[in-house]
Amino acid sequence: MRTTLLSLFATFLIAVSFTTVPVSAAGSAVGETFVLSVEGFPDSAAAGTTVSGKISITLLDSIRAVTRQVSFTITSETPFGEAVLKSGTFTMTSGQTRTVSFTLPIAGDARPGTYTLRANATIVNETLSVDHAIDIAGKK
Amino acid sequence: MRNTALSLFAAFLMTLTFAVAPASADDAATGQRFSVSLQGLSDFAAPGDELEGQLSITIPAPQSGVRPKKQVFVTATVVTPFGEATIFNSSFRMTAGQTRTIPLSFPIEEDAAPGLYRIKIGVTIDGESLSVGHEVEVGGKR
Repeated sequence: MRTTLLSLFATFLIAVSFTTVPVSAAGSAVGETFVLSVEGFPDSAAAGTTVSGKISITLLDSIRAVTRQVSFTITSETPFGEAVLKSGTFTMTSGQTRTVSFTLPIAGDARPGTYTLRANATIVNETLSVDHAIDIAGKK
Repeated sequence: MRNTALSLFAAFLMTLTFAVAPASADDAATGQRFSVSLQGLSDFAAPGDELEGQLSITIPAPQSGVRPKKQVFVTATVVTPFGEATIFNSSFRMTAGQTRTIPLSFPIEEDAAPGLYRIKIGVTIDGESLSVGHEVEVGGKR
């Protein structure tokens, strides 16, 4: 009986893993003092549309509650190096999670190709980065 | 006599053709409070090259009285599929009646994708913004 139940559960898990088609990839980076996550950006988009996503920053618990200044950027790789699309700063307390949402328009004349967005966050002396690649197709 | 004149004219035209070789396209803008010009950035660059030029900002002197110091904000952006993205920004003070020339240098990544890229340089003084632009063709590695 127990074996049958386990087999059924395993079959269910396998079925779920095949039916869940990821439309967006999420990534995260874990540092000593905080965690940076990128969620919701699609893996592909057409020129002339917009893409949306968010970054979440969790300041890890510490023995003593501390408030820290957070600075973040969303950058795109260009021939001239990383270029800043969005940036900001805020303060947060240990144990908290802050989420910032972004909407980025994709130019109608954007060249098809794979472009990488990079989220960077710095708290005190620690900087974390998470990349997300978006495949841009020609205008629909 | 006529042939000689024609030959001289043709030689003159040829000299002009060889002498004027446009290696870069410049841009300028003039506003109410200041003017800005962009010079020397080349039209073509290969990965690994450095795109160099200069930006000149002129604030006219007031008709009379003291020459005030103005805060100048300079931002260089490049057009990406996700909009304009900042590659450089700077802020400094300059006195009215002066021209300040800033050397510009944009190193091009070794793995830069070939294509035509537009750089825009925006200058803001006293709430007035002017921008100048330049298109550079990033080609395959030489």
